[in-house]
Amino acid sequence: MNVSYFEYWKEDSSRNLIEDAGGWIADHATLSVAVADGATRGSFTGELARRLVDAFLQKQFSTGKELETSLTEIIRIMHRYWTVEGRLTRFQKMGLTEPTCAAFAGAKFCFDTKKYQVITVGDSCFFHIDSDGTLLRQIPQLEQFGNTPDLAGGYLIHGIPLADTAAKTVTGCGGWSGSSLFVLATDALSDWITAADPSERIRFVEMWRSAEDSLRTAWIKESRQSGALKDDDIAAVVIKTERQM
Amino acid sequence: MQHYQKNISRDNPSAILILVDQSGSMSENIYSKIPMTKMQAVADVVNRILREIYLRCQNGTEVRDYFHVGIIGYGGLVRNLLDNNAQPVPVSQLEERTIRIEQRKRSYPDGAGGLIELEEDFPIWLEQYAGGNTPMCAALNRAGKMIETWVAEHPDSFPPLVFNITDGQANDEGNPLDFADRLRSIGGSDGNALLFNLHLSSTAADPDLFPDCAPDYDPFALQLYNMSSELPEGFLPIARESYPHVKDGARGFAFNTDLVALINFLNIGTMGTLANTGNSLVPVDG
Repeated sequence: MNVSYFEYWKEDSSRNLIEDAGGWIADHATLSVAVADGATRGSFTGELARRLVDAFLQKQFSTGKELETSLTEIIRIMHRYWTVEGRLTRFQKMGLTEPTCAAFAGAKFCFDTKKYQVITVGDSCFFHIDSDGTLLRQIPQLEQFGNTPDLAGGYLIHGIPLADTAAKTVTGCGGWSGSSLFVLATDALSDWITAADPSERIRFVEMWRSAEDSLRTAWIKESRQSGALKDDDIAAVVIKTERQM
Repeated sequence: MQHYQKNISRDNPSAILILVDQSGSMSENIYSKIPMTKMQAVADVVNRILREIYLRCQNGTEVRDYFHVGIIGYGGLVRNLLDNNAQPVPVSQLEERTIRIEQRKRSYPDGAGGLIELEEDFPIWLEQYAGGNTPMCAALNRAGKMIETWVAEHPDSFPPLVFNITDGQANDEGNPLDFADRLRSIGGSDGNALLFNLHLSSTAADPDLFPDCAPDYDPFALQLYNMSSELPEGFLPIARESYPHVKDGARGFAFNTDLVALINFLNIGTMGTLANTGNSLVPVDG
């Protein structure tokens, strides 16, 4: 499998303020991939996004209940770090009264069985794309992005997660044969992929997985300027399976 | 060319200026389920709005200066209440401008289907005050000068938004409409400054928010209506979420407002501006 991850920030931001995160980890039998998108509202949402990705890559939760358990641990740890240990001023602490939330998409691929399992919350998406650019599978099936989706998160002010995280998750599984393309992306790019025509999707996937960072950055800037891509933080993983595994 | 489209950023911030009537009549009660004076209600809502703007600009330990904010009080005298230097202050300076911090109770989910009550900090930037006459012309004049200087320094920013909250007619020298017209003529590349006027009521009259015409208004209401800017296109969907009747061409004007309408009016105005930061007050956006 060929795997490529890239993240980029919105125009008025910078690398150290990016609120999207992603990553992948592989062993001889499996590949795990995740992206997450810290929500605009709330403090330390980028940190929550990174912690969710790390938790998935290390624990590989596959059900809503398991995600809820991981999230509860994450929120408690963040509460302790930012509230109990006195790292913030009174004014900085005010921000912790709003929920800290993130969208999330994680997938686990098993090389032997050629099966995948997906878990998502909110509007970060998983895409299975055919070699001609047709969308074979999208999880979750969304047509609109950025419109107050249900997210995973909690209140850092007292360390309690939002209720019903498990109920907000969308899971799915499937398989592949031969050469296949997969993308996990946060909302801005998911929106673009959903709306793009098949040939654009193929060009995007090839560019994303093989080009240098400067070319990816140029594509993002150009797409934002043309209005095709929303000006938002971006995180995406592109995976190409080989014909003979 | 369409105006009011500019993205608000740290390089191109916007300004929100709030003019508060502090004349003697503001010590009367506002129409509300909870007995409360107009000066109490206005101070409370303005402090909430400033806190909300501050939180929207906060990211972890950093506060991004998307906005410069100012408060002008007029009751007997006209006073700059956030900054004596007569300029809106960057949001990051709000912490040092706080007069005091109150503790208020707020309910949070307890994770088990119930609620727990915690105390949270509620900063006070505007204290309640009422006394003297209503020098609205002088206040609008001060606001106009302030906005003129600000726009000269930020010619390509999203235009400033000025709220004027009052319960009575101007009784200083001049015609407030002239000063309002002047204020609304100050503009940069993304359009002219916006002036939204809100009239507070002591009685149970029906509030009239965001009207697009002024059919039966008395001269005072008509004057405030004529002083008010049209809602820019981007503000309309936000206003319609709470008031579906709002039409194209509606004015940033509210008459006979009770406490609920006061809160909604200021929220809608602020949300319309915050939407241009990609960081609106609408619930969390992933």
